[in-house]
Amino acid sequence: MIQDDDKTFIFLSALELSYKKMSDIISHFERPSDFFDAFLNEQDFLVKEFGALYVEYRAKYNDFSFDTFEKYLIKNNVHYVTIQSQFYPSKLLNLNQPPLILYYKGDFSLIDSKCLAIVGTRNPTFYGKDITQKFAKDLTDAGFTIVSGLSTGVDKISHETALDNNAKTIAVLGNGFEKMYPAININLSKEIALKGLLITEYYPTYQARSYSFPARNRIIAALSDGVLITEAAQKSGSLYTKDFALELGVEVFSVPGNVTSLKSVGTNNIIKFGHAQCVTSANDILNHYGIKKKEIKTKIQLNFDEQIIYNYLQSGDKSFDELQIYTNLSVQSLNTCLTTMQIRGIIKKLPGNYYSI
Amino acid sequence: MLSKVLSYGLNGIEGFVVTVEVDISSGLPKFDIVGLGDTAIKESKERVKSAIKNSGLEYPMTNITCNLAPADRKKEGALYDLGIAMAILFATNQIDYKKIDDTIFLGELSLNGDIKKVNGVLPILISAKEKGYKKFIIPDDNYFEASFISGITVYTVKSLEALANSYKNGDNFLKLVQPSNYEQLKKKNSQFSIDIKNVKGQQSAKRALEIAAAGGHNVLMIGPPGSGKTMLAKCFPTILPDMTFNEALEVTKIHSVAGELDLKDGIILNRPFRTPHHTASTVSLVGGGTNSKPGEISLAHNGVLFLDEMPEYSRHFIETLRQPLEDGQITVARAHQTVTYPSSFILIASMNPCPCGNYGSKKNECRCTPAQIHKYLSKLSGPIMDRIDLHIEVDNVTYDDLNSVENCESSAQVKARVNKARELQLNRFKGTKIYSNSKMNVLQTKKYCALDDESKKIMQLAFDNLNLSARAHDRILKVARTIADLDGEQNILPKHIAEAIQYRSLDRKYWV
Repeated sequence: MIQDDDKTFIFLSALELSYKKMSDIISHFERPSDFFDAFLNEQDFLVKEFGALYVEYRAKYNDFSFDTFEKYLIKNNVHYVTIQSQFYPSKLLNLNQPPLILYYKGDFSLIDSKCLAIVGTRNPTFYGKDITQKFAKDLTDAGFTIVSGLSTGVDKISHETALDNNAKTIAVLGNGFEKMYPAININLSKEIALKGLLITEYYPTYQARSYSFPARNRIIAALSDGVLITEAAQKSGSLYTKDFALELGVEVFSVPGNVTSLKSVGTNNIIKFGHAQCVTSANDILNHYGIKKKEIKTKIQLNFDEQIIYNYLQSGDKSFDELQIYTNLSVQSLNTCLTTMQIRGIIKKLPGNYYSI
Repeated sequence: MLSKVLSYGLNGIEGFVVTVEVDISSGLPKFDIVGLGDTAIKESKERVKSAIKNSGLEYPMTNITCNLAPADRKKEGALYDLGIAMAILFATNQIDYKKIDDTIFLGELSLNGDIKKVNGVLPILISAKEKGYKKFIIPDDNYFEASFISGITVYTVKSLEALANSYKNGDNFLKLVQPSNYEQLKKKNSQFSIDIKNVKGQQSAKRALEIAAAGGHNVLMIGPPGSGKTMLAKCFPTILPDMTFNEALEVTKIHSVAGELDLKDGIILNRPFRTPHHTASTVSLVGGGTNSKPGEISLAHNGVLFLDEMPEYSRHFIETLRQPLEDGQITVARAHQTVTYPSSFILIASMNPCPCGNYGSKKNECRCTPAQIHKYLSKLSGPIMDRIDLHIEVDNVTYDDLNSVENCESSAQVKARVNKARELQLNRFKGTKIYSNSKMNVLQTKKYCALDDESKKIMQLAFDNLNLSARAHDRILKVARTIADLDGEQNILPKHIAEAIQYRSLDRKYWV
């Protein structure tokens, strides 16, 4: 059974009001549940707040059934927590605009675990993909829960790496559960709901807006003990997360990139301006939190040809032709070597017929 | 008076005898042609009339009725002109009727009486020979086309006047077709203007093409614009095994029907290399139209079909490729007729890695969103990808590559290895319907691609660690079989499997 106070939160979020309006209305009433009386009696305050939309909202109210909504919650395993609730995460109260209601799917207790946000460009380079994977893997190994925004690119890779590593991950959405954006991540979101936590301040039918993404970034920043930006262009949305984190006093880490790469301008800049701590491996982050990582050194056995290839690749990514000229192996033997090394996880193949360590 | 002359019609590349009957009766001047002819046949009465007049012969100013039997089959083209003209000349007793016996007449008339070339002479001769017809009169332009069929008597003639004179006066205005020698002609004329040694760099792609040529595998090349995909594809025919005479005849038949035959040689000597553009209509690619003509994929029979920028082709066309890739033939069904053309080709497709073409490039930054790349790649459906054994990535060529003086292998050297590997396969598949590794079915794959324990282990590891999709399994086996054949090995060794795994880029899911 939904409590009367909560009904107000749910109904107001269903109206898709702006944050300010919603918080104004809730703080206007002594108890949030008083809202409905005032709403039905067309109280002056509400008439002023809603303006011309009042009629529309009334119609919406008439159609709205809390029973149906409750059935929806149960059927889809969706839960909610309001700012009044004792279960409301205290981390979020540090925010200027703490979400008034949170809808979630999955394991809510993850909020209290050690969280680290990994964010970055939606369209990473191979370098960006690679280091995101490396950091996400090492951080989850050290016991961190990975928080990100379930967008494409760095967000997606962070979530996926965490799941592949059997670790926990939290996805904060800029949309309602029924309007997943981008649609390509629907399956990933289902997996996170099962193994991690999906969280949003938006009513389930809320469609993502351009401003809802920066808004969810504040939740990402507030939930996390640190924010890691792996790759970001000059005007990346992940830089909003950095701003929120700095406001909250959450540590920001940034991975430097090639100075000529457009996709690393953002990360390099925040290092340059002293907004973020420069990190080159997960160990730097672990050191910051005083966590010691177990060093496991595996010795790789390589044969003569493989050693040559390995040494050559240490100077950077090489194309097949470059490798062939350098090693002077026949195409056939080189192919064989490369496959064996890939299977053993020593090297990686990149699109465009390039290889890297 | 009534007369009958034989001619020949085609349905696809199979033919049927057409009897041209002409009846001349008294009445007002009138000329009717019946027997399901197309517009070209309806118009032939004008040509026949003028040609007879301009050849110094007499055109009867009476009621002429011409019937093309069998009357229920559609006939098309201008090749009945000569038969109709001759039938009129016989019917009016200008030429002795007895002399024609069972000669088949083919030819289009021009108004001045010249006999012009017609399409489809080769398939007509082959089909008529099978039906027991021995004597033919064809246009002079089609001389060489006829010279490859033995066991029949073919005369060529330049004009209606010459033909009539040789009947009337016994003057020999006809030219008897002398047989040509395919092998000799081939030696003389079979030369490619390009050679694979001119392609600099791209070692892995060249190796993949060698494997494709040896095993008849279809290839998909992925690379940024300007990386040499088209050039590589153009070199591909130069490393393919030579066509046998029978293969050449098959190819020539189709090209003859389509009217694409070079009349100088009369036969196609090199494996065809067809590059239809992606804006071409599906009908022109697959075949069809009112005449059910062969399309590009049939013209590529025994050769190479090169689809540049494959995702740009209409999805409909790409899906129609499934039948020919599977059965080696395409059935064009239309309201009037159903025609089956052979279309057994090696498919070479090329595509960019993403809409802008720079994905994965080290030089230019790709500006496509993941969703765009995903959409672009998804234009190639699973069933089509299932039929392409080799995916190769072609990277940009550097300036150094272009200027390198390093000696690359020539096409002839590669071709020698390919021929050897093909021989092994021909022996292996003796008595079955297939001739190359790529065409093996599931049972044959199991039988001929048995793996030892070590190879199995590699396969297992590759599947676990490299994200291979299930459909890659059999493809890898077949390609490994071909690599082993190129090596001259009886069994597939681990190194063959390891190399084959390299050619499955798109299965590897590291792509976006």
